[in-house]
Order: sequence, then structure tokens, then C-alpha cells
Amino acid sequence: MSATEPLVSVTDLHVTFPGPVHAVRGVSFTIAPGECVAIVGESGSGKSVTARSLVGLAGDTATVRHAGLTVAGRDTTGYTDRDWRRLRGRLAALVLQDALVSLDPLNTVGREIGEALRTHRVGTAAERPARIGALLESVTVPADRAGAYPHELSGGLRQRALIASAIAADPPLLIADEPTTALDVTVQAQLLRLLARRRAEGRALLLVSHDLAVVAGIADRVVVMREGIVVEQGPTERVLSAPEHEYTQLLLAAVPDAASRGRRLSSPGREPLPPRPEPGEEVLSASGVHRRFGARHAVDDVSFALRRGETLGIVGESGSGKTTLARIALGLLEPSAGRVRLGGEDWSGIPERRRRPRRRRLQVVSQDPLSSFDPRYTVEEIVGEPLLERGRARRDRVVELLERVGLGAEYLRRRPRALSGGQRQRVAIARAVGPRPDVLVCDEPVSALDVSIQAQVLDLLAELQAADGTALLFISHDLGVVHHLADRVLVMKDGRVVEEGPVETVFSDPSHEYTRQLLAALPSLDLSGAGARGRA
Amino acid sequence: MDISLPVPTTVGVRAGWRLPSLVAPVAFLVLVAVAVVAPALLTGTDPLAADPMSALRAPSAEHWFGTDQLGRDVFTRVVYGARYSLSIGLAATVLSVVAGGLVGLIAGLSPRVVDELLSRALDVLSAFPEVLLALLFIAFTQPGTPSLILAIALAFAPRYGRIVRAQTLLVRRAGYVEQATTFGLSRARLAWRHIVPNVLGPLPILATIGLGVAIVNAASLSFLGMGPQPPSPEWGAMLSESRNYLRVAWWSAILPGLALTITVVSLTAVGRRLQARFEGRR
Repeated sequence: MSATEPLVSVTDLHVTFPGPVHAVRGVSFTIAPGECVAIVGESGSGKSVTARSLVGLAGDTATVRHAGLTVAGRDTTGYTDRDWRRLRGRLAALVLQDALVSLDPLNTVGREIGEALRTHRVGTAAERPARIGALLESVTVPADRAGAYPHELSGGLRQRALIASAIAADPPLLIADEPTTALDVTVQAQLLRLLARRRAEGRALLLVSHDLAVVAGIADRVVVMREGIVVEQGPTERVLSAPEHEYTQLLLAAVPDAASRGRRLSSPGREPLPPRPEPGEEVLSASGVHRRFGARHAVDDVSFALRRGETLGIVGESGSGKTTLARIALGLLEPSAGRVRLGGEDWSGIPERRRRPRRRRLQVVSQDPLSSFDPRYTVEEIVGEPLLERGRARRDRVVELLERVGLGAEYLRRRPRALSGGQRQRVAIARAVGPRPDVLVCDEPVSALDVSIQAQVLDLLAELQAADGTALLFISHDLGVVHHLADRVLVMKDGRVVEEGPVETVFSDPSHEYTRQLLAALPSLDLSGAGARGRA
Repeated sequence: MDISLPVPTTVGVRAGWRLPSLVAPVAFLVLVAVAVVAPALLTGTDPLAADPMSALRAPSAEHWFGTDQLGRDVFTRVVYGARYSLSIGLAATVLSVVAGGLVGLIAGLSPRVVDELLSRALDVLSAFPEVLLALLFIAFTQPGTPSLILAIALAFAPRYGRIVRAQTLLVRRAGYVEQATTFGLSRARLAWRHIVPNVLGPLPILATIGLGVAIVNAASLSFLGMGPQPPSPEWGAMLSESRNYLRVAWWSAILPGLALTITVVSLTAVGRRLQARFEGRR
């Protein structure tokens, strides 16, 4: 590596936005040809801005300063917009998280790729269709999907089509900003394999991610950023096995897995969580629940029982029916067939009037807390709404609840828009535990959060459960999270339960093929058995 | 510290207040407001005082906007006319917002059958051009200020009704309404606490824009003799009275017309900006 000239060399990069917000302060790193480097950090760490600066897309209002910025062997000092445009796509390509936004909705993906080919003058017009097909095949998209519009493709196909258009001119550097964040695990694994293959072909990769586990399997080196500064960088094995900086240790501890069960994720030492009482009587059960939407079976013959103080994990990818099941459990949707019981009494098939007085026994924490807050409400009104107390007593209780979730009385007057994602989810949890529910339904409560914030929220849920003995119905697409938190697990696919049992059994000895696939796709920090790396 | 990349699409927030200043429209509307509340502050003469000896005089230091065919001071009549035009427009808008809003809310919150009935009724009313609908209404009543207000309110109510119904259907499905369901709120409490306030929030802004259109319509109908009767100094009526003298005395028609135009443009400009601000915030 030392013998070859680096492909990318960044020296003392600073990016400032009006405010002034010093987003990137003195970042330096290099990427050798054919190397995969990952920048890891949470939102606001400056990782995306750093990556975008490499292709001159830091933003209109950004001021970029550096002591040297070489991209694909070109010194970019004094580059104009025109120079950057020429560099982009041909020498370095950028792929963003959301392909639905990045792709032109009025263009088929084939035309999109054709346009990239034409812009970079790759091949003749006559051979373009063949090239488009070959490019799509190279990212494992069937060539006959070239005529499809972005909205007609699934998230995974769309993301791969976007990559195909980015690599149309075969640039030596591909920058991918959170390329898999919106995707299911199995699709994510496919995409990571694809990126690994590109690296094996000698093309350099710069990955940007908040999740160390995702990049662990593919990156040669990791750059850990926090608040605009590189806190640590080095070979992946070294950073993962012997992290030097406290923040890296924190990030590593935050990744939930089998070993983290019963322990805190939000501290580097992973101290044990308070012990939980033994599961008590049955509080919520479903037997033979079906739900049809037209001809489609969203939920097909699902049964489960949840006992006091217990956590039942429901795992599945998008479209598996897990959210429909949650809505049925919450009594927001009637099952087409089957029965739900809450505390031994009928919960489905009864008039809403009879359900209403018991509704507070079942509370919900959803993926997107902001949309679950009335936009006119302050934190005090949000948390106070489900409470029975009035006046002074209510305010005291709201403060007590906010303190339980690690926020204080100073948040009472705040509006949810002025809160960070993690704080919003804490407010949502404070509201949900306010009525002292028997069951807390958590529908992807941490999917939208950074790993370190996710760790704090998961710790909070575990603490509250230990203290109150609440039963948790925990729905997630993330097997790591479920493995960390749940006692028992239900694996769902196409509305059916394909496997269920205690977490230890299901995760160590899965009996269904689909569960095995999900587990194999799970990104892991354990490098010993990492097949995706494809090292020669 | 959340750093998001600035995208040049934040028109409402970033470019909003720096683009064309609202100083002129707001200043003009303040002037109009004074004319409505206390016209005597702006002019010392009587809008109805005729002086045939000085009929059709051109604008001068004595008569800023000249005089009309009966020798009445046009400036005074324009100032006093603001009260007619604006109060008719305002009353009609308030009525149509309340009536349309109520129908829209009921449609949006009711079972499918009721919604369907009310929506089709609104559709039928919307099929008529607004002025035609208002004319039809006046044809069955007495011309005059009260029936003019009712006619315009009726003509505009379907528009607000449809907006409110659509908004209600949207808010009904919002995450926070579902969340509140899990607190065991009754349907009425849900509607009252979460749906109604969030539906009605943007209405005053829409009404500001609608006010301008209502004023134009009121003036048009008065021009046709359906509104306040002569010698009331209503802007539309003034236009109508002076149109025969347009060749010899342009001021008696053009200047009231300008007052009407600038008022409506100002109202629309302010309303649009309020709307942009409101949507940018949301």
C-alpha cells in the first residue's frame, strides 16, 4: 500500500456552514486504489459532509478549506463547479441512502443509466442497450427491468439500479452514504456482497455509515468520526478488536448481539441491567388471528401469548405483516378471523365502547415518534394527555415520567420539533408508560436511530420493564436488537409465523430455512467467520 | 447539533422574507383599515354631498381624485366605499368559511354514506361558476347588501367545504390521532381535541386569500346593481355609475377601480406569504 500513490488523500479538511456551524474540523485520511475505507459516526458527526466534499457537493452554503484534497490522483485545489462536474461520475461517484429520491421518477432506470453512459461518453449509442443490460446484471438486477420506473422497483432493486448508474463510467472511486440503512437485512447483505465484489475488482470504496457492524465485514480501514473530528482510524481488525478511543469503545458496546443480553449497551463496560422479575400471568394472547386486505393475507393464522414482565420479539422484513399484527394487538384493527384476549377477557370482536375503558392497559411506541405527536402540543401536553391526574398533580407526574426517561422538567415547554430523534423517542416512551400499561407494544422503536442512541433507548426500555414488570411486544426487522432484548421470538414471513421459540434456541439452532437466511445476512462485528470480506 | 445539508428548495423559509418586501401591501392595507374604521380621519367632506356646479372636475388640490357627474368628491367616496366593499367581502368570507368548514368537517368525520351525500352536494354547487351561483341566489331575493353577502357566502362555501373535508380525512389518519385512540378517548373527544384544531389551523390563511376574491365578486355584483343601491359609495356601484362618463372623466371610474385592485392584490400578497410561512413551518 505504501508503494502506490493514494487514490484519495485528504489533509486537514474543514467545512463550515453559516451559523457558523463547524461541521468538519481538520479531517485527514487516505484511500489507496482498490481499498475500502469506512467513515463511521452518528448523525451530526460530519461524516456525510466529509464524503460529499470529495466530489464537491458539500453544499451551496458550505465553506470548504483544506491543506490538500486529492481525488483520483487529481489535486482539486481551486476546482470550479465545472471541474467538479467533470470529476463526478467519471472518477468518483456518489450513491446516497434513498434511491427513490436520487433517481428521476420520470425516467426508467435503463434511461437513467443510458444518460450516465452518454454524459461520460462510454461506448457508442448503438452498443448502449447492451451496456445498460450488462451494468444491471453486474449489480444483480435482471436486465429486463431496465424499462421499469423507480417506483415500480423494490427498495433493494432500486438501490442497486442507482449503483449501476453511478458506476456506469466505471469510476475508480465509489462513495456510498448509508447505502443500506433503509433496507431489510437480507437485501442489505446482497448489497454489501455487491460492494465487496467491486472492491475485489480493484475499485476503491468509501462507505459512510452509523453502524459499525455493517461496514465491519467489508472495510479494510475504519475512520471513526465524532463532532467533525476523527477520533480514531486504523485497520478494521485493530479498531474492532482493540479500540483505543473511548468513543469507539462506546460505539462497539452499543451494537446489540447475543453477548449483550441482560447488559447495558450504552456504556463501554456493558454493566449488567437490573434483574427482571419472573414472568407472571398471561396478559395478552392471540389465537389463530387472520387479517385479509382484499385478496391479500397480511396476517395468516398467527397465535401467541405474552406474560407479565416478558418480552416477545416479532421479527420479519418489510411486508411480513408484523405491523398489521401490532395494530390488531392494539385493537386498532379487527382480525378477519381469530381472537385476541387482553387480561383473560375478549379484546377483539367487541364494540369499541367496551374496549375504550381498557385501552390504557395497552400502549404503543412507534418508529416515528414525531408523527405520533399532535403538532400543536408541547412535551408537557404530549406526556400528560393519557394521564388521569389533573392540574398540579398531572404536572408533577409528567415531570416524574420525564425524569424516568432521562429528561427533566426543563423539557416541559419544549416542542417535539426542537428535540433530537433520541429525545423524541424518550418523550414517546414517557407518554407510553404514563398510564402504567400491562403491555407495551414497540413497533420498530429504534429503527430510525443511530446505534449509540438506539443503545440508550434499548437500555431505557429494559430498565422500565425491570421496574414495572410491563410485558413488551417488541417488533423489529433487526435480529440483533431482538436477540439482545427478547425472551421469546416469532419469525414472520408473508403473514405467517415460520418459526417461534425461546431466543436462545431460535438464534443458535434455527429450524426454518428463512430464519437461517436472516441470521446469515445479519452483519456482525465478529470477523472470524466473515465470508463477505472475500479476501484474496 | 444536527447538521443537515442545505438544499436550495427551502423557498418558504430561506428566500421567503428576503424576496419582494411586504411593506407596501401592508402599509396600503393599514390605510384601507383606517378608511373602514374611521373614514373621517382621511377626508373632511361628505361622500353624499352633491354639488352640480362642480361636476366632473379633473383631479386637483381641492379634489384629489376629481369629482363625479353629480359633483361629489371621488376621493371621499373611495374612502367611504372601503367600508362597504370590505365589510361585504369580510362578512361573506366569514360566513362561507364557517358554513363550508362545518359541512366539510361533518362530511370528513361522518360515515361513508353521509360523507358521500354531502360531498356530492358540494360537487354540484362547485360546478356552477361562483358569480353565476351568486346571481341565481339574488334573482330569488331582493337586491341589496344582506342578500349580496349571503349570495357570495353561498358561492364560496363549497370551496372551503371541499378543502376542509380533504384536510379532515388526512388528519383523521394521522399518527397522533391513532395514538390518542390508544388512550381510550371517545370519538367526540378525539375529534374535538385533535382533529378539529389541526384541520382548522390553516383556514384563516386560506380565508385571507379568499377575502380578496370575495371583494372582487362583491364589487362585480354591485356593478350589476345587485348590491348596495345608489347613492351608496360602494366601489363596484361607483364604477357602474361612472362608466358612461369614462370618455370625459376617466378619474371617476379608474381611481375607484385602482383602489379595488390594489386592495385585492395586497390581500392576496399577504395571504400567500402567510401561507408559505405556515407551510414552511409545518
